[in-house]
Amino acid sequence: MKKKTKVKVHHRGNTISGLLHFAAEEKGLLTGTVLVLIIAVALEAFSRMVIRHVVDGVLERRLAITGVAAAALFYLGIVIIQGFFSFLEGRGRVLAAENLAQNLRESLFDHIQKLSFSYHDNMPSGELVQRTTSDVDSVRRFFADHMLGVIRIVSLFLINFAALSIISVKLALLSSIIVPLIAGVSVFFFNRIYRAYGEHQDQEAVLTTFVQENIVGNRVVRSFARHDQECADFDKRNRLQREKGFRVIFWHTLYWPTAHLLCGLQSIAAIIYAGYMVMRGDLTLGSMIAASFLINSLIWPIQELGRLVTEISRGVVSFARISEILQQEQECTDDEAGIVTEQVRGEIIFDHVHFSYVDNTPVLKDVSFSCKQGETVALIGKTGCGKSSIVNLIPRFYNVTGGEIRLDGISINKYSRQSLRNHIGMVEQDPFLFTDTIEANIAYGLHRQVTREEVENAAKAAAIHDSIMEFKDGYDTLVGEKGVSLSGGQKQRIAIARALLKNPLILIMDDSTSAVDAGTEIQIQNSLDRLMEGRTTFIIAHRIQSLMKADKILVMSEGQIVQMGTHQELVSKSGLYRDIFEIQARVEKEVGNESVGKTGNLAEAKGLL
Amino acid sequence: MSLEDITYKGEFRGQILVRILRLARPHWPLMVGFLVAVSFTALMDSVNTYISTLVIDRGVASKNPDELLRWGMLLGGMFLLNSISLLVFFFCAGRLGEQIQYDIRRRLFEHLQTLSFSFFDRTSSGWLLSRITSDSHRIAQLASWMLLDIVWGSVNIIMAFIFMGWMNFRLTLVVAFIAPVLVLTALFFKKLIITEFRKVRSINSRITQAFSENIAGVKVVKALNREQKNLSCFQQITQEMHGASFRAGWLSALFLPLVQFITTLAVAAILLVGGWQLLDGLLTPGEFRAFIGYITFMMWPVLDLSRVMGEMQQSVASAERVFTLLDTKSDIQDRPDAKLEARFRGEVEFCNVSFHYSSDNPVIKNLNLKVLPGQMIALVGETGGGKSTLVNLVARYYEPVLGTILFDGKDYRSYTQSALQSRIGVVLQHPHLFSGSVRENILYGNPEATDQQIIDAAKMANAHEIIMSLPDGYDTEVGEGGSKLSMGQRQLVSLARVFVSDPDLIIMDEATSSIDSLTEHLIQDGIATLLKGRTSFVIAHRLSTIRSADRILVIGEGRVIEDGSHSDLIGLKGRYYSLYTSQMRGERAAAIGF
Repeated sequence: MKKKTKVKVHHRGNTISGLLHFAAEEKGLLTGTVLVLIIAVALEAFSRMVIRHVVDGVLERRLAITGVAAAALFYLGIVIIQGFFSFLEGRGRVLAAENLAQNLRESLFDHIQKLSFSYHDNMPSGELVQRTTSDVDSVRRFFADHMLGVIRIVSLFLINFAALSIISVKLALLSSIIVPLIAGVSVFFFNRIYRAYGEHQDQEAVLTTFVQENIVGNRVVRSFARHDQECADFDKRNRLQREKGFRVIFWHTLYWPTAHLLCGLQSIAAIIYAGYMVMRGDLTLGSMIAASFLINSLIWPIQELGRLVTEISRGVVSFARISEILQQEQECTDDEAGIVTEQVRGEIIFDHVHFSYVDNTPVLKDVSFSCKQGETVALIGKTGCGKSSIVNLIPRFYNVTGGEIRLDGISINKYSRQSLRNHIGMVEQDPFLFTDTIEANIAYGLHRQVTREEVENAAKAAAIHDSIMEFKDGYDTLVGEKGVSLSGGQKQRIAIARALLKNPLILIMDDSTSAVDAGTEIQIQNSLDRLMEGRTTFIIAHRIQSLMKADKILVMSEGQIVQMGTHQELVSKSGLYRDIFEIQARVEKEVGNESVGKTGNLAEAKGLL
Repeated sequence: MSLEDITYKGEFRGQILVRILRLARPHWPLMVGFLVAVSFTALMDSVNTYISTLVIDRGVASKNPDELLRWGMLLGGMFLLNSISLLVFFFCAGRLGEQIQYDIRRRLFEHLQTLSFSFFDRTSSGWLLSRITSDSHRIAQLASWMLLDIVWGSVNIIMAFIFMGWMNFRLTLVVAFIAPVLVLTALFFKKLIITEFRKVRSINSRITQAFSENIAGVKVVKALNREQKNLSCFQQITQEMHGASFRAGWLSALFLPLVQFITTLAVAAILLVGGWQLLDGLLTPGEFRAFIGYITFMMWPVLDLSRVMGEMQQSVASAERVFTLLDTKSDIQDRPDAKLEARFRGEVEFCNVSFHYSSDNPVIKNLNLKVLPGQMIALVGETGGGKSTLVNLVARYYEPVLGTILFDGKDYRSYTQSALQSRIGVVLQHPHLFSGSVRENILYGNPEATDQQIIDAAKMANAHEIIMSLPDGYDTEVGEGGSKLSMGQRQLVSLARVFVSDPDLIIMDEATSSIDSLTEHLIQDGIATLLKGRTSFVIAHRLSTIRSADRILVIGEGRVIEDGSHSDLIGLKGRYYSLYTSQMRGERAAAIGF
């Protein structure tokens, strides 16, 4: 039933013609809708003429009671047809708007998930969500209400004007003499109203942020006994918000009486003139009565024109914001030219790799190293030293800006991204779980049907099975934003299970188990060890024991590898590694000595290792 | 039960409506103003139609230009009056709405500041936020614009019938049938449409969720090549959305013509019966026109009323939520005679303290404990054993269910919460900063602090140099929740904030997040300075911290299992010993590795 064409956005995306160009997809439906709208408006005007027929017929004694009855039936018939057409119009515009909105949503969803990481890094997620929801909605309303609303007002004006012209051209002209003025006033005022409204909304956002911070930081407010100050600060913002609200009201208060008066005077002038025409014999009484209805339909809707025009300009802005996303170039995930391979060995070579994000500040400078199949490479260094960038380059989340990364001797740029990523597993420090069951989260990365048994085996290997079984719904427990909240350690083990099930040959891990107690830490460590077996592993290390087991340690500083080697090699040389190591080790060593001294049981402590 | 779990039906109960009206009481002149003005406007609509009748009958039909001009001018005068009336009701209703919203928001916010800690544990911030933002708005709308629409609509319909009855009673009886038919149809249809829109809203929130998850989790999506599958899941939701919105849309599209059709039936009846009366001279042409005018116009108040009826239910549900929240009293109340100022040497004593969150699940059982001034207490034990609860009791975020807690020998309930809590410095695992500059955040600890005091505090917290290295030094904006600073920087700033408040007692949940070793070292030093000479309770995760404590409490199953210095407890070879060695396993590896 639905065509699933992708939205194509042209450079005109930020103008009204861009919006209309987008609407071309529903050209047939929209044209049909405009047609039925015009017919409905015309039929309404025509029904007024039936009233004229009755009044004049009766007054001139041309019409008997049967004639009146026939006219009443005829009137009813016209209105039923008119009603049917206006229903078709309403249905048509809703359908068109919904089709377009659905298309826009799906295109955005797909496009966004295919945009590069650099894009996501620079675009706050709240902003993206805002554009995909409320901006899409304002585009939807453009098609459902505003565009046809304007067409409706214009048709009402033109058709009623034409009908009035049939009665009397002079009367028609006189009736619409200040209509342009009303339209102008309307547009002017709504411009002000929406500007005031925009400021009102901005202040609303300020207020919301303030309340949010107060609630989230509740403990801090308490502990410094600052509630009075908080209330005062809130009141300041709340007052300002009220002022902005008054401002919006102010413009409304000016506009509506003005519009009412203008429209009212215009219609009275027309009616008095029509009255004189009747007295002069230029017009029948029936015509005058019909004209009074036609004049109302011609004048009053103009009041709304300003609102619609302003709404349309908002729709255009929303569409521009959406277009901006859709115009961004996607990263190509299924490049046909790329190598698709079922099996890799997992040898990775960084050959003079340079990398910088969009702002051109170098993040990695001339990084070279190699690792063999099954080796573990540990990366350490201060925050911002480039270690995360190194692991993000391997699955091609970003592209190198200089040099080359090779997998099994072939540049990773030659593989299709999809195939490359199929061989890489990632376990993050704070893994993201989707709102879904635990089972679905574990099986998230697999593109085939997965049995419960497989999921359970992975969970057991990741030492999370028992914790899962403690939940009432076991593997069907809902997690994520709306589900039960899991501890950092539980989340990480679910991510490990996810990686185990995916069974990749290259593994990337942000190793942080700091948020869990000692017992769990050992369990995680064991499951990590199991996960790393036989895989090429890159590990961002926070703890010494991860480093010690690594085949290669890369010590990073300011985007460069400053030291490289095994733990034994690095501690024997002076340098950053030994500095970091000593700070951690000094304390522990003292504690160790003391504990051993107190209990005299070195052997036992060693046995626990 | 949490406030979030209650169902708020939005039933029209007198009690709720009275409470909503009471919100408007301080602004009664505005309310009276708009009620009078809107009734006047509704009356004017009918009067104007009637005057048009005179324009036609006395003026046009009688061929009397003076009468035509007179009634025409009167009509113009009426429009002028009506414009003034419009001005009054827009002004009054609009201001009233803003005032009520302002009042509700202020009351809610101030009320939130008094609620206890347990309340915030049970209630999500998102839920609370919606009460302050959207519910307050809806209630304000109900008391202003919706009330206005109801008054306008009902007065309008009633006046139209009065005028029609006065002009021609028989014809009025003929068309009177439409009133109940219109109202019933409108109510029935509106219900259908509202149900559909409710569906649309719930699907819409799923769409938003799908978007926000896919954006937040984009790394996982890419790493696991889920793009295709996610898109097809998403397409299912948008398909549902399309279906529901379309249904809601065409039902709405049907509604208007349907109402129009009913009024048209009446118009046809007027054409027939009125035309016949016109033939017999029982009706003037002006009256004939007026009847058609009254009936066709009646469509608008009916549409308005049915719209408001639909929205009202939501507003009343909003009011239920807001009032329930306002009626929630804090679990912890200040005693009437509580002292407003406090200063402590730092002696803390638990006497037979028991505590539970819910009665079937005791957390602390008959705890006795005496802490001397200046002692540093390390709390260790399994997660869920009661460490956090103990600390929350000290901070009086919760109060003991049984027993008392003494500060310097006096029941701590003899102080107000704010007096007490302002003497307790809290160092959190994940420090919370407020939007604003670094300076403002440090000032939060003590609004009266001078610049010198701020700098001194920052220096003591080891934060000064890091702050000076920020782009604008102390004036650097930290962003929402401190997001523009690194975790380590946030911790240092929050430490300076505690220093500047110069507390008598420290409660600390030791940070465990991974911060680079050098910053970590700065933080540790700062904390050590802070703890010096102050009584402190530290939920400890690091061996170094535990070891430096004067006293270690092993907490488990709501009791103090072991109590003593590090070497005492090691010697005991009990719970602490096994915790300690287990914690050591990993860390020792490094030490033995030499």
